[in-house]
Amino acid sequence: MLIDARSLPSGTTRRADVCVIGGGAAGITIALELAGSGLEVLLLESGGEVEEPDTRDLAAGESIGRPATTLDSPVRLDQMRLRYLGGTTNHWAGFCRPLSPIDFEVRDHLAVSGWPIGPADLEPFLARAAEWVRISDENFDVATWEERLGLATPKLDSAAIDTFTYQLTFPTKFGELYRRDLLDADDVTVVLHANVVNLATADGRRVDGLDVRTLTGTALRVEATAYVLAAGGIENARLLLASTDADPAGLGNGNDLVGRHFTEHLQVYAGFGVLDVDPSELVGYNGGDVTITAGRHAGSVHGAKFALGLTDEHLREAKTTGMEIQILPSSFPAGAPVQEEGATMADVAALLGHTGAMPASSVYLQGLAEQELDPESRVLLGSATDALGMRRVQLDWRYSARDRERALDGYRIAAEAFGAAGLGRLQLVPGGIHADALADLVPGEWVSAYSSTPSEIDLENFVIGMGFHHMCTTRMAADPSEGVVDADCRMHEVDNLWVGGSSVFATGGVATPTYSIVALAVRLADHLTTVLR
Amino acid sequence: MSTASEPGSSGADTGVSRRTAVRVGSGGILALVIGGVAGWVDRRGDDPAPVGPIDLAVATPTTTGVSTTTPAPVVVPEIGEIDPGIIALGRRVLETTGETDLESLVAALPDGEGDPVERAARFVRDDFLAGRTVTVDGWVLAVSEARAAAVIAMWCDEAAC
Repeated sequence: MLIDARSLPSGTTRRADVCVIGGGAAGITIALELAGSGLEVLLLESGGEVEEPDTRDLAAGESIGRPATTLDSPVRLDQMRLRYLGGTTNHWAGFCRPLSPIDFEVRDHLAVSGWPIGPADLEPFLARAAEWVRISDENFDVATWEERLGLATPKLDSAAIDTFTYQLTFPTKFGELYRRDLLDADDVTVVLHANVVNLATADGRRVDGLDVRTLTGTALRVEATAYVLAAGGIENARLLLASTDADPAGLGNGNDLVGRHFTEHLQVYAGFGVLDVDPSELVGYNGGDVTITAGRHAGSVHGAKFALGLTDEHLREAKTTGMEIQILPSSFPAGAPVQEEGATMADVAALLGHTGAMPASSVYLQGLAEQELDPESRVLLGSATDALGMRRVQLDWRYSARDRERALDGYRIAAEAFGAAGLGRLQLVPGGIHADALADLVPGEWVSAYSSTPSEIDLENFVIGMGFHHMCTTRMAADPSEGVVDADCRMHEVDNLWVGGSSVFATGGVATPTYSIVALAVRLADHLTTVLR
Repeated sequence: MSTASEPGSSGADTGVSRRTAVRVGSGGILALVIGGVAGWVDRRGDDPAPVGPIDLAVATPTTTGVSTTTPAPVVVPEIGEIDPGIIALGRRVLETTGETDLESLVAALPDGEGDPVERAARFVRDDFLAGRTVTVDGWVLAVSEARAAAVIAMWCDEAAC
């Protein structure tokens, strides 16, 4: 059932067994997993079914740390988060990949690392998660996908870097895709335009109820046996910090960890590459489509592609962090030199025996890198308030030169493996390519796609973008002094409050997070069913 | 630097025609330079280090890029016609590394036995596997191929080609 909070009389109290705050990938998955369980579920969504400017403004805030950017363009906090049914799946690119085993491990070379659960704890939920995100299954094995796609990938002779598989769900907006399921579920009620402004508590040990407001002035109360906070990596922290009934530091924040360890995937564009093989040999990096053969989405088509990633073995031995690199072939127009000074692509092409000014067989590189957790990288509350009187977010995102250096090392390893395999030569110019430049290039014209000649790589200043993957702000840890939620995603300090979404990630890893968010949501729903029945 | 164990002739008659030299790939370039060393050394009155003929069927890469405008090749002594891009790259290698001594560069070129093209390709591969790379304007190159390009550039500059 879907209702609109604005249509309810002010002063109404709604009751349920489980109240889920946030209608994104985690919230919708949890609500629908609980459907039919015998538990009455309320799903509170701040927005409606489409984006609305007034609601969007509630997500506005201030970046006070590293600039929030998509590479060379600043991005606002209300652009990277979407506040309507479906949440940020409404602009999700659809890349699915599970976490790697090393993501769960304690890594002594990192200041903060380790999950209180391991891959085996998530494995039972991956198949259901695959169905929710609308991909074939939980199998990401490269050989399997080479066979399914009919595409081979080059074999790299390197222990440090290897090929992995992305499954790509084509626009899977949870709000649209699962609207019918939400409407049909007798025991799930979605309340739209319901903004939680306070998690009310008398003693800080239990949530007694939720104070809910609409932008039209309606004030509601929601009471439940269990609450699940699933409003996103930034908003989860904001709501906890803003709920000060028992403690001015916020709810569940006795150890001053709520909002800390904010982590992103560092989006790093590198340089171009010249191929020494026929581009058809790299077509696996472009990927292909397959049809889902079983389950609720049988018959739907989705994509898959291959990319490169540093191996777990390398991360352990080199004591470094994760990195994945997409080789994007044939995306650069033939005949367009990409550099005006220094050693150009044409020069390297000549070295490889390509004649002419510019080879058609070029690629460019795009990477996502893990950043080391830093407690000073955090979500804070500023002094400005929104239309509901809530303090707006201040995002103090931090990353270090060491993070940049590690990303550069990852690219270098890829370049060496590429050369050793006889595939070609790669150029490392992290952040030096303006994404917009690609669209401006005209075949045959000389255009510089670089901001400068990359004679030296500036570790302090090369441009890093955000993946819009907001993680670790209520990180999971066995010890309350190290994290906000326990292995079951329950708040250490609040008995009836659980957290969903990537804010519970204990480390960011390098895998795109949504698939793991949904797997954790399925797991949490099972847990709630067990403990509440 | 010694390639004395290999039968054959000096770099001047490696079997590479001037018209095809410009299409020789990275491993081939290295092989050409190894071959060219013989002529270069000979010109300086030292004992030449002969290399075997180069099989262009091996030396020519399987795929070449699409050329809209092919730059005129430059005739480099000891080798023949070379794509000016290689010379430009070699000059950037020299600028980047600060290398100025041709003899030490030549001496650092890889040594060994067997078919020069296969050998050169192996050197390049081994360089990458071992992380022996040099970064020139961001391009990650095998040390061997970077040296080869640098030697070509120095030969070219020396002869004012």
